[in-house]
Amino acid sequence: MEQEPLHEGKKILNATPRPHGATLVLFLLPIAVLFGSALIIWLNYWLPSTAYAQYLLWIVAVIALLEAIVIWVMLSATLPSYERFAAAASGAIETVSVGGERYVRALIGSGLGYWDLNIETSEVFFSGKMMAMLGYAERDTTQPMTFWFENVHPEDVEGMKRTMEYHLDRRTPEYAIEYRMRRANGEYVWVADHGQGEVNHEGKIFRLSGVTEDISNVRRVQEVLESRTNELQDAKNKIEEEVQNARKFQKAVDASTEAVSITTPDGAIIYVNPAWSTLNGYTQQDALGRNPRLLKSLEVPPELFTAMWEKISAGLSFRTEDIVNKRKDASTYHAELSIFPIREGDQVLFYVSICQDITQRKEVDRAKTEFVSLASHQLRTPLSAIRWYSEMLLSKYVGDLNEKQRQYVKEIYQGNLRMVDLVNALLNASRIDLGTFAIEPEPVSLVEICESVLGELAPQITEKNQSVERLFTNAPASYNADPKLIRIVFQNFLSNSVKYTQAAGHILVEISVRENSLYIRVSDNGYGIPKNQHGKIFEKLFRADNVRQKDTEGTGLGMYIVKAIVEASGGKIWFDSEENQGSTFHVLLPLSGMPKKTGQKGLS
Amino acid sequence: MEEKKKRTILVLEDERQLAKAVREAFTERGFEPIIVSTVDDGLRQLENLKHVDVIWLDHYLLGTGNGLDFVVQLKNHAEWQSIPIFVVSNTASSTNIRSYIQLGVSNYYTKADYDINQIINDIEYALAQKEKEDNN
Repeated sequence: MEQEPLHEGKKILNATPRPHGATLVLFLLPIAVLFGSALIIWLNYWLPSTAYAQYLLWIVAVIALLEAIVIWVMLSATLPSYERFAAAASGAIETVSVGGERYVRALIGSGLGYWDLNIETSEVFFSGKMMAMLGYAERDTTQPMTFWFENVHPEDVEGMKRTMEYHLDRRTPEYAIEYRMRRANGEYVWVADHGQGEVNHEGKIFRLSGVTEDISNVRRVQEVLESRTNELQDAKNKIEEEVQNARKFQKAVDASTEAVSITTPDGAIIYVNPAWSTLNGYTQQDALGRNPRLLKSLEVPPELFTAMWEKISAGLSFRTEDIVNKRKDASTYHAELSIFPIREGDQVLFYVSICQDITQRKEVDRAKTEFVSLASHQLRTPLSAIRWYSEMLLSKYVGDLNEKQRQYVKEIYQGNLRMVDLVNALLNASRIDLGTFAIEPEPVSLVEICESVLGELAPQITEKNQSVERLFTNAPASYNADPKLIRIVFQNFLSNSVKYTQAAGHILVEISVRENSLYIRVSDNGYGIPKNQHGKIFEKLFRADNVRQKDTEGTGLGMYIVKAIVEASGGKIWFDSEENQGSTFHVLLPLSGMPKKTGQKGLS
Repeated sequence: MEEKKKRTILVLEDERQLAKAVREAFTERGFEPIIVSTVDDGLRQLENLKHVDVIWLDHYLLGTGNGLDFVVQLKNHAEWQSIPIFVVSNTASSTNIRSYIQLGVSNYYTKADYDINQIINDIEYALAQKEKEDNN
């Protein structure tokens, strides 16, 4: 306890009995000496006149001795206790000062500024260190209290004064406050005051003393901590936001009716959504860590998996409608599967796969296709009958016809042929619409197919006296195409050119390589297409006005089918045309060939 | 030169209209057409008749079984295996066509796309080829 040195001292003093008697001795000693001296003087006067005159010296000596004895007794009864007391007092002082010095040294060693406020005089003692802290010379000074208050930061002075007052009013047990003090050079420094008041016998504080610490470092650290804490809080908030967002996405995925699964690049499932579990019959527990291969059924051609691996190992996404998956209960279903890699830079973090049960859709497609097949059968049967009977009439199987009869039957036959063409075209168009047409590429000679088509058209070309120019020098010797489909492309372009070009007109056909693609061009100087009808050329059943007047034949489906074929093969088709100048149709196809496409049936 | 024997053609066709036209056309071209409308009838005829030169086969027929079933049956019988089969139908998916070709039919035609004489020409050509082969 800080009070100890004082107490120690007091204890020592209290342990020593108080000396007393000095006053008495002070009084009695001169009396004894005077009495003794008076006795000697009286004896000196009285004794010579008596019989004992010769004993005068002895008597005086005895009296002097007695006097000395009395004085010695008096002194020895009092002096020693005073000596003891003095020694104790000296010891007490030493203890006190040693003890007190400890505190002084500690205070000095701490570097704290020490101050001592005298409430009554409103003067405050500042230790040298305190002054040094404030940028003044390191010397103990006494200043008026106003000096202190004036140097407190205006924003803090109210609080500081109030805190001091509270303590002085004895409302708080201690005085402690942090505030800014102005240093000699004008800058403010954060300090912390700690002090306690001393109470007088009236119970009021008359003296307030304490220390002041420069806490600018502490403050700085505090500020840094605060800003760090804020940063952390911000980061935490951001993370929470992200987590919320992630949760939203997770909720969305969880609630989705599409089956979603996420796998690591090395093929372990790390997440499946409820829809996936419902679809495949495996709980999330069952699926985690397993390879998605567990859904593989034997009904899928291995080439599909090869293609899939090729694409996803290259970091590309993959989509197929041809996969058949197997559920936990071994039942199978047709699935549409899309796999996307999720990457960061070059690295694939994981794969997301989205799967849909398309058994229903496939059923519907199959039903539609069957309907189309059936419809085509029903339509074609009577057309066949008309064709063959007319043919037989014209072939004179049942006798000769007169000229008029022959003509009429010929019209029937021709009209019927148009119907056959139309039904075929409609069938192709419906297969395109259903997406059920197949592309089965094989190496073909485009020139050969083109020449074959030209051969079919030879009668009309000759009849109309048209000239055909071939630019086949840069044609590839072999090209991967579905022969039926590429034939349809040539047939449509070339028959259109022949049909829609006047007699003695000129047709040009080019097969070459351009811009790293296969290029086909068919050009004529015929009727052309009016500008305001350019946009509709590829529409189903559209025939431009100018040709409808000149020629009633034509299904209006040809261009639609050609465009579908070209685009399904990953190619481009476009044209230039001006009415009465002619038309040029361009096609670009990938040099690698038409991509294989599975379907229910090829176009014909 | 021996007298040209009338060649027998077994026709499996269930559409009455077309069957009639086919009969007329083949008769005109010197064939003897036998018309049936089901697979079972076709097989029965094969058993009854001593010899059939060529078969005209539609895919969809009355009764049970379609053209493919008939071809399978045919190819399983040693004595009928080598009869040329011409499939003439208005509809068969590409898978079916592939199956027909794999089973070894001579040709496949979509009815409405061909004149009957064209088909008969092809049949005569095929029979002439076969005769040459048989004689060698």
